[in-house]
Amino acid sequence: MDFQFTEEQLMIKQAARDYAQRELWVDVIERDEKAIYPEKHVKALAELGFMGMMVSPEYDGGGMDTISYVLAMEEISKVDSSVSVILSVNNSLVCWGLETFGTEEQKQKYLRPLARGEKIGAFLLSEPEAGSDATSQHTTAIDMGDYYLLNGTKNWITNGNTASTYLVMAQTHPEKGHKGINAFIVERHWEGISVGPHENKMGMRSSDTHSVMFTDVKVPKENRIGGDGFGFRFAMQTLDGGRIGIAAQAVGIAAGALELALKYAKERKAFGTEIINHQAIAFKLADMAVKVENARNLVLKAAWLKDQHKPYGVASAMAKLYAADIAMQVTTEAVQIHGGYGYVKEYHVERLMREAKLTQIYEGTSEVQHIVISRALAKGELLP
Amino acid sequence: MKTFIFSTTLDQKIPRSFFEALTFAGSLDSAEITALIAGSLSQEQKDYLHKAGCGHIFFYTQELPQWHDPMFYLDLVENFFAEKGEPDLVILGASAINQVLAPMLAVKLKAGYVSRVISLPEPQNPHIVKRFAYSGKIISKTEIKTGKAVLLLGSNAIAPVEAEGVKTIETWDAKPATSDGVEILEVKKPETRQLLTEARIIVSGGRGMRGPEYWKPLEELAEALGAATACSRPVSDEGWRPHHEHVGQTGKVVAPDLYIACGISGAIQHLAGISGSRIIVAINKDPDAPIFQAAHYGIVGDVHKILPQLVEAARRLK
Amino acid sequence: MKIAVCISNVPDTTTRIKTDATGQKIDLNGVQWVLNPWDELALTRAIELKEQNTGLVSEVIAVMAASAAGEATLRKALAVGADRAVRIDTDPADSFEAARELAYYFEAHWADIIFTGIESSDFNGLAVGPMLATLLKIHLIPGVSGVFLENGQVLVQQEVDGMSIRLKTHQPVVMVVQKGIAIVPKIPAMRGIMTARTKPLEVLSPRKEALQTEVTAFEPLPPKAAAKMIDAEDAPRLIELLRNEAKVI
Repeated sequence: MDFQFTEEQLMIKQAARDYAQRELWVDVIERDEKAIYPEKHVKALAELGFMGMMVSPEYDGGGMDTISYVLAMEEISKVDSSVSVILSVNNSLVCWGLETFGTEEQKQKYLRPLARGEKIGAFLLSEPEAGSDATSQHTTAIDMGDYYLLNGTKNWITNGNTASTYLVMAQTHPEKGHKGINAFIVERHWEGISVGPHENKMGMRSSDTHSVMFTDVKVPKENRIGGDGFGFRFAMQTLDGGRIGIAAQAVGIAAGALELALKYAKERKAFGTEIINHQAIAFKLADMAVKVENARNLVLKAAWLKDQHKPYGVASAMAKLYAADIAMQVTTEAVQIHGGYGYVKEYHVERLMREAKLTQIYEGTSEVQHIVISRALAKGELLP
Repeated sequence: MKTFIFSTTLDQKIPRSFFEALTFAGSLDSAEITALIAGSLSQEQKDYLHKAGCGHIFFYTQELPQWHDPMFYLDLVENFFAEKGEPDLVILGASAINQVLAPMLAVKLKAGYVSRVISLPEPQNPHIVKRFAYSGKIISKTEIKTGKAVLLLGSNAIAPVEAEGVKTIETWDAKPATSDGVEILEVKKPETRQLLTEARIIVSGGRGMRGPEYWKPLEELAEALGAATACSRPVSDEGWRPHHEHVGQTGKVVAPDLYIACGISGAIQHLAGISGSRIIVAINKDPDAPIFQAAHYGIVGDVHKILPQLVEAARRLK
Repeated sequence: MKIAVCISNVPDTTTRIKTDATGQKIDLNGVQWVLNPWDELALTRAIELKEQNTGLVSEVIAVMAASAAGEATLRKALAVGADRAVRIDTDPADSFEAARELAYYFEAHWADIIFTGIESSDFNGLAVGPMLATLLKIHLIPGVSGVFLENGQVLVQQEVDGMSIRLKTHQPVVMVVQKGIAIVPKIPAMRGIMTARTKPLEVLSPRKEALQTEVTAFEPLPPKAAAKMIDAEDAPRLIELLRNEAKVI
């Protein structure tokens, strides 16, 4: 057992922190309020190598481990989860999915520009009637011999409009149920693709969430990922890793709120002393710190398991479930500590609270994480 | 103990830091003080020198380099030593050229060097000094182990005393010092300059001023008090005020008698730049702003309403 | 052209500085060490110069006199873009020891431009650059707020006492750099962090000569009384207090 980070991991954490505190902090409130896509930040983070930080250098990635990735995710999410979700989707869903399951040609053609951050990817699984229940895909990909014909609608797609490369799940063999699903690499500019309006969200308002419609889109055969019918497993395995990123995001939101609440409590005075000297506030902060530390440890454990090539599906579900829940709790308390100031945008914590809510919903709701964990329990996988 | 003091003039004036050094040296009973002033001087300033309190004072009146050339001043001072003898102790006030010259002289004299000296814990022993360390967060006591010592004073470490007692004042007619290797392409000199590091009073504005268009009352207060204007880092980063006005850890470190902070919250980096100030006044709408922890006087309220009242009151003083 | 940047490791500005039980040493527990902010800007500019003048600037070297604890900072310098790093294995007791050790290094390994930050935020000595130039008997330009390479020539912007001067300088030269030399410190990119693994970091033994000065004790700042608060409605009273009580106007 060794809780030491390497020098390199700390350097990445600091680099992410420097960028977030110095650059993202400046315009995050305005971007959130006006739902402005953080284009220049995505570009800058791409130049720093954050968009494909876990991809092997062979495919122009940063070659960093999952621990480094979650440290970076946490630091960026302390300030702006609209940016960190773009990072998360690109890194742990699109790049990881392609690198792990793509063919050499697919990697050369699609992974490289994604890893360099020159292009952005999106992961298209959710549908208007298939959110948590991903087995019932209504989008179809009919095998036409030379190509697949793609039809259907995808919902809640992060990077929906800005992405150039889509990974799309669609049903090819309805009779086989989820074993008939395939995953495809689809280029945004192909004929038959239309993108719905920007979703006006409660939080993470400057990330670019859209529905995407496919009408008779021709997808070349070589753009299928894995063997025929591999799509559902592809999606599930990819999401296992994605959850680590979102869990790290939730930790970041909570830790960011804690940092702000602590700073405020040390400065703000009431009844003749800084409010941190009042037990009601001090104990609250202590509880918040314990929750953040707990969640962070769960996330690091899941990341470590992934780096060690050990099964991490349940660990990532636990991390995501817990981190999302405490993010909600900690941000709510941070608002409370700020009193009236917490309720206005200038103090950032109300925004973190809005952002926290989404972590309980996307990339597997808390209910889905409960299912994953309880099933593993039932199978006896979790007991020593 | 042969003691040497040096200063350049600034716009025909002798900077306050010279008198600080002289007063500091004058407090040492055993000091035989020789001071050299380089640069042209107004007659009024020359006359005033008689009140400097102590020492033999020499002038070097020949042309000085247009740029801030430490090699020239090192050469000049070494020539002076060649003629008048090497000192045992060098005490320099904190002017820009002295900050650079002092460590160079220390190397040349093989003397132990301490900067930002604030006092002598043993009043007659210049080999043990107190100085600020860690950006003014702590005071360290330092012992100089070499026979010779070079001290660079912290600005405002001591209040200069006006007194008779200057022994001689004369021109030192030496061969011009030389320096080469550098070609001057362009020199921009401001029409008027009130150096932040020399200013006794500074009126400074922060983000709470809301924008460059609101600076007028601050400038009026500075004018009424004969003060220099300064600003916090966000203000110079935003381009509201020029960079040379930036006071703080990465900008200028100042130590005036009076620092009036208007709409400055008091980030630790800013406080590091003003901690040597004798009196700090904070005006801020947020009663919890950290600047009030550092301040001696405070007003909680809207800086735009308060400044005009202060301007009026300051003008009435005259 | 070789550019060397002398760097040092300092406690983060927000660190609370306190002494240990003996009162003679700073308690370093929990101190977060960072690259001295001015050195970081100097390094940033050195790397920019190399990137903008490929072929002309052959190498950027980060040199530091520090114990092994300083290596993380040196590796950060490599990650940011320095080509190699040198650590002289001693924790200098004062500016002169740092300057002397650096001078021994540069006497054996010449650099055309040597950058030093105006001061380190721990001892605030303001001295390493001027001492280094004097020991090496080479040119010194203080107050440098800009360095440019044009047609192979080194142009320098010097800003001191409100004057702004543009110079052309010969080499070798020591430049003491200040605010303005670079706008924001460069953040290391993944690629840089990755390649830092394979860049050389040389550790040299110090000469360790007799010390010229020694810190014998630390003491806290004298406690400050709480600010005297003046009612906003009664603001002109401030002027009166400054004149009659504080006697500063």
